[in-house]
Amino acid sequence: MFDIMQETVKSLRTRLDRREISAQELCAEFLEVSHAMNPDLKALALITDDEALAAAKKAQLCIDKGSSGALTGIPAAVNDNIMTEGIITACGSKMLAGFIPPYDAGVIELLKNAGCVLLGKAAIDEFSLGGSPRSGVAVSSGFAPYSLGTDTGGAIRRAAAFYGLTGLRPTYGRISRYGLAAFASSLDQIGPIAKTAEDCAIILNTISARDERDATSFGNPDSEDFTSGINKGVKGLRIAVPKEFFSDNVSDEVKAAVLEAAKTLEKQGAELTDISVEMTEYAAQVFCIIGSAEAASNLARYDGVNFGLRGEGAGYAEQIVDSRNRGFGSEVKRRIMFGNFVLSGENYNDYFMKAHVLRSKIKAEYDEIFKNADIILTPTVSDLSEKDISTKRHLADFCTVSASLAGLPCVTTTCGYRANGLPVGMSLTGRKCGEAVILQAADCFERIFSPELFGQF
Amino acid sequence: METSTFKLLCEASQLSFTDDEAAGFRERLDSLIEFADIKSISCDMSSAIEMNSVSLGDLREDTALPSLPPEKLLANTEPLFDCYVIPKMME
Repeated sequence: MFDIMQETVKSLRTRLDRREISAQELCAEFLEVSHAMNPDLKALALITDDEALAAAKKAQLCIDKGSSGALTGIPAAVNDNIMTEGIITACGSKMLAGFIPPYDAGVIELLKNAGCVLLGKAAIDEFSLGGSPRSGVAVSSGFAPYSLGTDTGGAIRRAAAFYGLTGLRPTYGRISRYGLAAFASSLDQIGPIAKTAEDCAIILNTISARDERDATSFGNPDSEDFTSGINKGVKGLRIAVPKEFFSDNVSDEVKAAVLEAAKTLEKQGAELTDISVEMTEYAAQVFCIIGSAEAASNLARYDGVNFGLRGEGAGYAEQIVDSRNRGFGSEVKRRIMFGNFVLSGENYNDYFMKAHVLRSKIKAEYDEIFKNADIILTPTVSDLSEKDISTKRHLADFCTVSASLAGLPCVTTTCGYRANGLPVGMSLTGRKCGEAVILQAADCFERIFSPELFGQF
Repeated sequence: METSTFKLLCEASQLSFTDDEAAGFRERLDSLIEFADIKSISCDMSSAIEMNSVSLGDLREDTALPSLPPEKLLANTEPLFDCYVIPKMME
């Protein structure tokens, strides 16, 4: 038997198609790991044994008929804020404890149609406010070969960077948000966390589709194959390195590792250019304002009547307040209050409107850069451990929020290790719909940096 | 933050705090407001009218589609003596 911890989506596809293992056996192996390790790691909020084994059985029938797709029979975990019909989706919140959605999210429909085996729901901070770290834990600890996370200000990328994985935030609109519990609608995106850029490309091929139930989704109108740049190298690609991302907010260890990675890509034929992205100075504040305002609006629906926990009170108004007091955690309440602060009449222009103007300037600056570059290379995380994020939240966001605000695709991959052994992530941001190019560059780097992941098949 | 402003925000947010809770919460809220203060940044606000954070695709036709079955829609309500509990909506 092979070590499933080392397997990628691609290698498992080959093993399933060669009949080295059946989909049921593979599912059972991952479930065994999940049950053994979840009590300590708490990566999954829910393990769905029965549904997973039934899906694996169905997938094996497809494999036996020779009609398998890229993800048929391959297990996955998905964030607990993505709706799954008949399976509890609590969004990490007491407000939705025990909530069973009556429908599947758009991405879940696509995964099920592709024969994917859903192993469980990855635990998240309340409404994914703090990110998708457990999605990263699930993949890095061998619960599943990949997971679907959600990225508002960098959650997928930070999770991947913390756990030595590859995480992709696709272009805003690539993936349907139908059935994703909304936090900040103009920023939320679903994306894969996996072991390689190639796996992310394979997964993106399956989950990018226009969905008329999400008016902002455009999917993959050109039927682009996101694996088209895999194993093609980086010769001729223009990579811009912005000086603002290598400031004092970033540790020397991280700077050294990311700049060394840039040199490695240069040696492979990429052209490096030093640039400046001045507007990023305000990105964390702009993100905080817009994200909180949208969150205040989206979370207003939780009133104890239509959704979630129901409080008590003498009348309707009191009942709503009691429901929200008891259902929401402290940080969510702070974001709702701050969101309403920036949306209130006397602050609207000074905060909310100004943040939108600054956001449009950030987007314009990126558009200008991409006239002369194919990729922007930056660190993913300045130098904070997951533990530090609660107290230095905004510093942690600094490296990731600009791409979110501009709606651009961004992939992170491991480019080095700190002295304490923790991985360092580098981010490759592309122009709108430029996923194939950034995945090509990330793949090129991974083949040099982690050759053991590419040697088996 | 003034007490009156805090009360207004609580009302808009449909939340309430005891006096003890409010003291600590206001401090944390103030720190967020201080962090996000962009008032001093000068920028041309005339462009605000033209900006679009997201672009919309073609909207689907506004036609009636089959609804989810009632038993699915009511699956999260609490059955009580063969009926469903709907809270009082009017004061």
